[in-house]
Amino acid sequence: MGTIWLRYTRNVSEANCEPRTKRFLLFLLVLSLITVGCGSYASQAEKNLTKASSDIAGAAYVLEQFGNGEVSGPYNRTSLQEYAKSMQKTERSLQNLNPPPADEEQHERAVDALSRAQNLVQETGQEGVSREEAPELARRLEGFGEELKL
Amino acid sequence: MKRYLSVALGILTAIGGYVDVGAIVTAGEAGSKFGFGLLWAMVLGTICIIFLVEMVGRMGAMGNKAYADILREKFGIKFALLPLASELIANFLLLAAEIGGAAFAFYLMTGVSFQLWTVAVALALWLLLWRGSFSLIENGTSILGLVALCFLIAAFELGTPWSQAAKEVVLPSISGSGSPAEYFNIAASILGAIISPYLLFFYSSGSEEEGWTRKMIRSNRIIAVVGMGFGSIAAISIILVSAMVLKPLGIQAEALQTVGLGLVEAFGIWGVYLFAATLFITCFGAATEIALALSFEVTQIMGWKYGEEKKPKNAAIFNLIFPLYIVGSTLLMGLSGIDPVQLTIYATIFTALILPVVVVPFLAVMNDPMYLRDQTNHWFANAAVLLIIVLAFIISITSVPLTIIAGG
Repeated sequence: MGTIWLRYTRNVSEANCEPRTKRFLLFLLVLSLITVGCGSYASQAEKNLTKASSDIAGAAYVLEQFGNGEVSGPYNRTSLQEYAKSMQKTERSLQNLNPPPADEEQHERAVDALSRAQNLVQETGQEGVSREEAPELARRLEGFGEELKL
Repeated sequence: MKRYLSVALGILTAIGGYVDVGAIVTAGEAGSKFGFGLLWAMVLGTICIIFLVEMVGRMGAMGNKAYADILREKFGIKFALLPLASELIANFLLLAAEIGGAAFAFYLMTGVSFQLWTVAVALALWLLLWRGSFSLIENGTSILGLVALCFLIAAFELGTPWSQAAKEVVLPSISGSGSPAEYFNIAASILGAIISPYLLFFYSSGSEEEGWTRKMIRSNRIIAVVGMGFGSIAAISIILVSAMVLKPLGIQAEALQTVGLGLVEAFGIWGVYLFAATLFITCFGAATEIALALSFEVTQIMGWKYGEEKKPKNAAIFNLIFPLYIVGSTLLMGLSGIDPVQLTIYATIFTALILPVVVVPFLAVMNDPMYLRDQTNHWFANAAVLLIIVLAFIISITSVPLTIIAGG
């Protein structure tokens, strides 16, 4: 059955199915337009905070491993720079959200914690850090991560 | 003896060539966000690619003609332009992502500008394609790609709960730090990354360049099943390692350097070097195949002269297409500032979307006795591949609006 159908693929392709295709494309367009902007504050904030927590945890892990001598210097610095870039993007996305009045204070706290974490990661990535100091910085970052969860 | 050696080489090549930037990114993200919950997508993709690689080898052995050649001959140039155009876009994005992945490995190890490394990788790529023979390109980088099996060793080292992982292949769970929309998005990306249609064009051109005959059918079957089957183990191991190390720490592997942290946990400082080597070799190997596949596709469909073994003056357009694509992809990756991971995700979802356009005509060819004589497809192979392709298409087409709804 499959074989017979496949042999006639050419005929199917030649059939005039233009109006159907147009209708399908129109449906997709309408669906996309309806769905754009449908993400609520809560879902968008949660998505951004999860991303920020993940980047902070990643940077803290790299620093910790660097302190243990299990990550090389260039890997440590480039990883931190990449995490800093990603955190900056997330910070901008968070700032662009409009929280409802009840969530405003918590929103501000989260943005502030993320901003401080981002500055720390960026500075460490650019200027470097000694293996002795790395665990302390990792702990500070973990603290910022905890602030995001509150 | 020579035949056994060639089968063994084929298997090693298939295993080593399985992983690329798409597999690394999607598997890392899947494991870190959903644990073992997306292993099924990797298994399904592998089943599909085993079928497709077996078919494309059989086609080459029976007709000694490349797929794109047959596509033009059977359906006409107008029809052939549709899969060609889809492939050109998908492969352009994929090539840029592979160049980005290879460059990122050096960037991680040296800290020297990522943009500079993209140019260096592009030059090395062009040089290898310009000077290297087909077998060197096909076998050399793929054999080195066996380094990706370090993820399998890491999975053992970290004490993976194998029975739980096996259970989740059959009964997957959606629970994790990602949304359901992300779950389907990553599933589509995995299928798009594993079932890469460029492989159809690359393998069929390879079998033509190497002059395969009917005698190769059995060896090809063994290579497809064993090579691709074992190859998927490396990609599956990336999911396992990410699930074991990153998920419990709340780290989502949305950046390439994050995927490497699983190896750091297993091997310490050696994990850093192994990850960089895996990333560079697998991405560079895939980039050589994609760039060549692009040249083959265009020249075969247009009916122009082609051949990696031919001197540039004897196949001028063939030798012009891959450098142009390399330059274009390097500019996209190096100058636009696009994140290689994001680009990989877009490229793999787009690939999943165009799968029916490329694979359905291929199945039609595989059922035509004019090209396959007594070796046409079994109904089961048709049904299995069609089912997976349709599933990949549905998942990818629904994942896009779902992601928008979720605020992605």
